[in-house]
Amino acid sequence: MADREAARAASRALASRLRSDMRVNGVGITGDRFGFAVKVNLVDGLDQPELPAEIDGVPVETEVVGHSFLLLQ
Amino acid sequence: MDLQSARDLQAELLSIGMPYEIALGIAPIKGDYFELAVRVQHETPETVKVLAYIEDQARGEVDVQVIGTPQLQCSCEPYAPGASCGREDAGVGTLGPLVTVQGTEYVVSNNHVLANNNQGRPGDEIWHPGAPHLASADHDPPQRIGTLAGFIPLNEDGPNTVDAALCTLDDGIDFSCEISEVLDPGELVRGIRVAKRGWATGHTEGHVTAFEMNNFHIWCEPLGHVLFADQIQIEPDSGSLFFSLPGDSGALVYEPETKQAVGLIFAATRASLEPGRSATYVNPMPAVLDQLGAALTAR
Repeated sequence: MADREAARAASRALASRLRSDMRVNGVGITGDRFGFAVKVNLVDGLDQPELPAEIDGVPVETEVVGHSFLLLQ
Repeated sequence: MDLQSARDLQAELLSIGMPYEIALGIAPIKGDYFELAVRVQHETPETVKVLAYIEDQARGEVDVQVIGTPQLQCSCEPYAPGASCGREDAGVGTLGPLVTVQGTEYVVSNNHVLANNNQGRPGDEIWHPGAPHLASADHDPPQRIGTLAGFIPLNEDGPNTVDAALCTLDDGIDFSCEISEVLDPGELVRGIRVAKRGWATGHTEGHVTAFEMNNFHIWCEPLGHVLFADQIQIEPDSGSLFFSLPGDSGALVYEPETKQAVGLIFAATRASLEPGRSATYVNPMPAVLDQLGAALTAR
C-alpha cells in the first residue's frame, strides 16, 4: 500500500485521464494509516472503462455507486 | 403472510431501491397474519409501475395507502442545523451551520437549496419549514426566517468544490449551533465516523469511505452536468440503507466525538444492488468556509 501523497498523485493522474468518461463518477483516495489507494467510482458495473490494477505502485479500487442526484426534495 | 416473510420481502424490495415517494413497512392485519404496508405520497407513472411490481412480489398481500406529501417538520425554535428550509421556486433542503462573515451572522446551506442553482438573487425569501406553496393547513404556517444573502456560483465548466450559499436571519429568529471547529482534512481517512442532522432523515451516522474525490458529475437544472472536485464520500453504517435522502441537502456533517465540522451535504448516489450501497457526497468544510469568507460560529 502507498502513502497519502503517492495516492493523491496517482488519483489526480487517473482523474485527468478519465475526465470525460461519464461511466466514471468520481476518482479519489481511500485508505488509512495502513496505506492508501486510488478509488474509482463507477456508474454501472456492466459498462466500465479499462482500469489498471495499480498506478505507480498505488492500488486502484473500484466501487459501483450509480448515478448522482442532488438531495433536494 | 407471516411476520418474517413480510420483513424479508420489505428488505428485498428496499434493497433494489424504491422511489422516494414510496415507503414500505409492515401492517399487522389479524393475529399472525401480516401484509406489506405500502405508503405512497402521490401517484405518478413511475410509482404506479413500482406499485404493480410490489403487489406482484407480495402476491397481493399489500396494504396500500396514498398519504400525500409528508408534512414538513413543524416549526422549531430555536432553529438549529438540521431544520428544513426552502424558497418559492425550489424544493426543500436543510439548514447547515451558523457562520460569521465580516461580523454578520448567516446560516449556510447549498446553492441549489437557497439560490436554485445560480437562479436566485440576494433578498429572495427563505422559509421554514419550507416555502408557502408547500404548506398544509394542518400544520404551522411557514415562517420567513431570512433571505438569500449570496452564493458561490456553480461553474458549468467546473470543477466546483462547493455548492454553498448564505441565508440572513431575520430579527427575532433564534439560531443555535454548537459546532465551531473544523476537522483538519489531512486527518481524513477511511472509516472516520461522522454524523449529521437533516430534515429528511434526522440524525444519522456513517463513515468516510473516500475523499479528495474528483470527476464527480451531477445534473443541476438548468445548468446541465456540473463537475465537482475534492469531495468527501460517506456511506451509512451497516444495517442502514442510507446516510441521507432528498431533503438533506445542506446538512452539516461533523465528527460526533470531537464535534468538528467535516463538510456540507449536497448529493448522493445509489447503486440498487444491496442494502447500504448508497453514498452521500459532501463539500469539504474548509473549502466551504474559505470560498464564503466565513468562520463557523457557535451560539
